[in-house]
Amino acid sequence: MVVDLLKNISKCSFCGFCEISCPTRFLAKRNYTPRGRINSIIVFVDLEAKGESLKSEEMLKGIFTCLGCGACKIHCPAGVDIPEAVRSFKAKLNKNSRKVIE
Amino acid sequence: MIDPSLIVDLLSKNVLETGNPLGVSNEKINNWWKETKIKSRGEWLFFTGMLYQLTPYIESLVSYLEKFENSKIQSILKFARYFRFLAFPTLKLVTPKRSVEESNEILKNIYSLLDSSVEVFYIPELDTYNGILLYDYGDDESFATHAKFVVKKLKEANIKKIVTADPHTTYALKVLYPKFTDADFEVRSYLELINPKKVSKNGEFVIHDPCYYGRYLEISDLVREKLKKTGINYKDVRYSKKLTNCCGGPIEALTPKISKAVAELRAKELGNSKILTMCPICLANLRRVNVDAIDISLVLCNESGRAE
Repeated sequence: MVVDLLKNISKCSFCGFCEISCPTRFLAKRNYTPRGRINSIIVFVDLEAKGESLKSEEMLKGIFTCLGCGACKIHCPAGVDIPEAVRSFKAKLNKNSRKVIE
Repeated sequence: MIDPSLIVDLLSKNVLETGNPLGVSNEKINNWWKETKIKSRGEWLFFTGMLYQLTPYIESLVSYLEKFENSKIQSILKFARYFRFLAFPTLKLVTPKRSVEESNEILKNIYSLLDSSVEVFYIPELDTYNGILLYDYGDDESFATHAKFVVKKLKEANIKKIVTADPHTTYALKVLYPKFTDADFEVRSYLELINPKKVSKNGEFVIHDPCYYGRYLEISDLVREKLKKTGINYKDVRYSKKLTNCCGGPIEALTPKISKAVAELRAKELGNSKILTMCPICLANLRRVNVDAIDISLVLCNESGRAE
């Protein structure tokens, strides 16, 4: 799952063309836009590989406020499937938290 | 925001234990067909995915969730499934009867439109919640388990062709189920199969394309062709079809306030006209910000409420 996720988001060059289309951009915080969400995922996966954790409330809010509407996807010149990246990251977070609960 | 793990956990347990996100049996919410002459055999199985039936109750629930969003009281959701026997009767009590009646009317109209165009049939026992919320919130394991349960029921009934009522169910059955299960049904939205006749409706409507029809399934042009046939006047806004903007509905259970703010943005784009929607979630969420919206099926039928 992480490999597929990284393959998808590694194409992101942080150009920001996706930002203008996102309905939650009005929240005016980086983590509530497609580029910000991709950045959160990259930082999370990177830190996790080093045995550290970045599961802050703000990061969670940014990820879980993604509507999955797909408006950003058609604006991405690199062809990153942003809604699927965010959705599969939600799946990863869900799996992680269940492990903690168990 | 409501803690996502509380919502995902509650949804998952309800869906896996009862087949329904509210934790009740489908018979309690699926009543539209009782006053309709339905056929039990035909070419296309009508599959509602329960979304139209669920939406009135979800909207009532969201109005309460909005009150304790960001507060610590939300932790009571951890125990909600133990009070399932109380939850639905309470929800039923606070849900406006007219919302439930409208949902039933929409489904009756869709069935009627289909009945006059193709060989459609309906088997209430086969109609099940589509599981899309589990997928949207990233609970892939529960979604796969539920999808396999739905597909098994449909395959055992030897179903080959399915016609759906809303964009979420269409996407789930057409795109997601083949990925997560061995489903190989032919799936179409009812808007693809109907041949509506001329209707007499005054005024001009503005179309709000749902994301799944506009971007994911790309059937917006087809919907406009059908509208042209009926003689209904419609107008497109700048952000329509592939460029449509979301109504905010998909996150209404997690963060009702942000969901409402997104709906307000979309409402501004749509303007003050009468808005045509094709999805129960869009209809409900746009109405939360006082948009004058109506489901397309209610417009495609004649004044009598039935397709001739």
